[in-house]
Amino acid sequence: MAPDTTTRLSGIVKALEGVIIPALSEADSLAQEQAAIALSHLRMMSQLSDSDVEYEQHCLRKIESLAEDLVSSASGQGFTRERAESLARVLGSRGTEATRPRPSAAKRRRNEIARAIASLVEASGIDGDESFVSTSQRLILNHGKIQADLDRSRYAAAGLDPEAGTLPQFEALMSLDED
Amino acid sequence: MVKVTTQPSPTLEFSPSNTDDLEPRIAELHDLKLRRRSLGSYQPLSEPAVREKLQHLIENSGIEGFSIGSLRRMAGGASKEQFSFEIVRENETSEKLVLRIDPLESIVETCRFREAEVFSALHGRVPLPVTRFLDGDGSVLGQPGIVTNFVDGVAKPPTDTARGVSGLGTDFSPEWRDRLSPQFVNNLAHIHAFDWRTADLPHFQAPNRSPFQAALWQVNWWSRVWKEDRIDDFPLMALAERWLRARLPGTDDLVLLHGDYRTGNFLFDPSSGEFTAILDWELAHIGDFHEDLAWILHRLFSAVGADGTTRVCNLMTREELIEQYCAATGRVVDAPTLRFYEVLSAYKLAVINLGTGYSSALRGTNHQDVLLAWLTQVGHTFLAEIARLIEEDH
Repeated sequence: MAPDTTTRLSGIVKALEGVIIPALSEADSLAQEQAAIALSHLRMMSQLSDSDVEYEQHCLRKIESLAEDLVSSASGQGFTRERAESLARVLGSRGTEATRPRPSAAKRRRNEIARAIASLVEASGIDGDESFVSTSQRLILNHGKIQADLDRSRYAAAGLDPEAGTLPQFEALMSLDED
Repeated sequence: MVKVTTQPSPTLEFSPSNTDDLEPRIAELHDLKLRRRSLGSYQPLSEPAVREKLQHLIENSGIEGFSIGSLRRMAGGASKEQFSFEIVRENETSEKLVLRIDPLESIVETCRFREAEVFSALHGRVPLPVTRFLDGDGSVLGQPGIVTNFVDGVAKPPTDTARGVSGLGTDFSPEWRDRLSPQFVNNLAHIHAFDWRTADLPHFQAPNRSPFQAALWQVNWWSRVWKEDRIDDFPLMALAERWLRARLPGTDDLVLLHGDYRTGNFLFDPSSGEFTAILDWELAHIGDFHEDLAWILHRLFSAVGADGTTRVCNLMTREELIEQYCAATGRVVDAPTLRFYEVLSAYKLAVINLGTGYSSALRGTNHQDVLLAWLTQVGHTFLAEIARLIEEDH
């Protein structure tokens, strides 16, 4: 056995902070800048690594649910019908339980579904029924607001979000959203 | 003099659903970017490499008897590699200059020819750098690049010690706001008043086939970038594109737009407060004036002051900006058009950060991959903004 990821990351952070960054030339602005960002990445990775699996699976479940709602409400002409059938096929080819716990597999699957949703939305802009354009907007806004808040909360420690202080805690959003 | 092209593509009929209808030079830049993907990853330029490239560029312009001194990489710059240096002549006169050179892929794909053309066209109208040397197609430098004079000035007050990225979160005291805000609005008014139709802007094309083409070109530009660069996909992005295509606003009042006009992209004298340069013109194009206003209004560029008031670019309130801009230009802001461009601004920022930034970091094609991967995390605020704006409109 070897040290777990969190232990390794914390060792790298300590080496960067205590030894490597102080040894960089102050005149080398790119090296200074990139070392500081690398350190921030490592801290963030360390903070998030424990929740990676749970987070990716949560995102997958939510987009599957959105896709099911979109398929069941889709109506329109040729393009829209074709893309709705395509999305239904993607949903039908669910990943096996053996691969789902791996975050990379869950993320790939999430993206496959998201891509099929994008195709359906694009088609509905051409020949979707007005009712589906309206319903799909409502469904996607509902999903998107919750997902965006979850992601903003997950990455709030990056310090880039001007409203980070007003966001609910990540754990609270994950558990709230499962109700 | 080659003026702006007025008939961009005689073979295209105008249609809001025609995704191929975008400014030809922009389409060309993105075609070139896709071709460069076969070249693999990119390493930041070393000092000796930059020195050699500069030597060739300056010699190519016919200058002899010079040396390059004080070459230094400049901090920041998620888009282009930036270096300051001095060109020292045989008679011992010298000038401090700045080189900006494209990595294989930038967070935004833009044109150095256009940048130089804008500097030249607007010279004397608003404070700008001056182009000294240009390699717009990269035939000398290996990648496109531009050398300008070094403009003195600061992007934030000397009292602001915050280290925000790209001017974000810059803190202006009421005194600084009073000094800078009128210049901010007046310079924008000067840019928008510029008669681009009579200017020498051969790498620009004007969207004048239909009143709706200016808006369509923007939707097609950024949706193309999204589709070519996205790694993770988000249903909100497809919804935003559909929403935008269904609401293209028309205009006959085409102006030259800066494209990234905000705090962080202007320099001022730290003593007098006078603007010394407006920077980062790489997104300049011809379009609807609402687009620049909507960009300035984006929440990311806003800050809440000690008095609890939210100010755009930490300079003035939303209402003050619109009021002062209308007073300076005589234009009237149309609320639905402004809303369209606010959604477009959020969409563009999401494309840039969640799409191109992520894609470049993944492919290793930028000099700041580690920064671009970091900036990806801010992309979710733009998705939230898209949702908020569309929902409010509904």
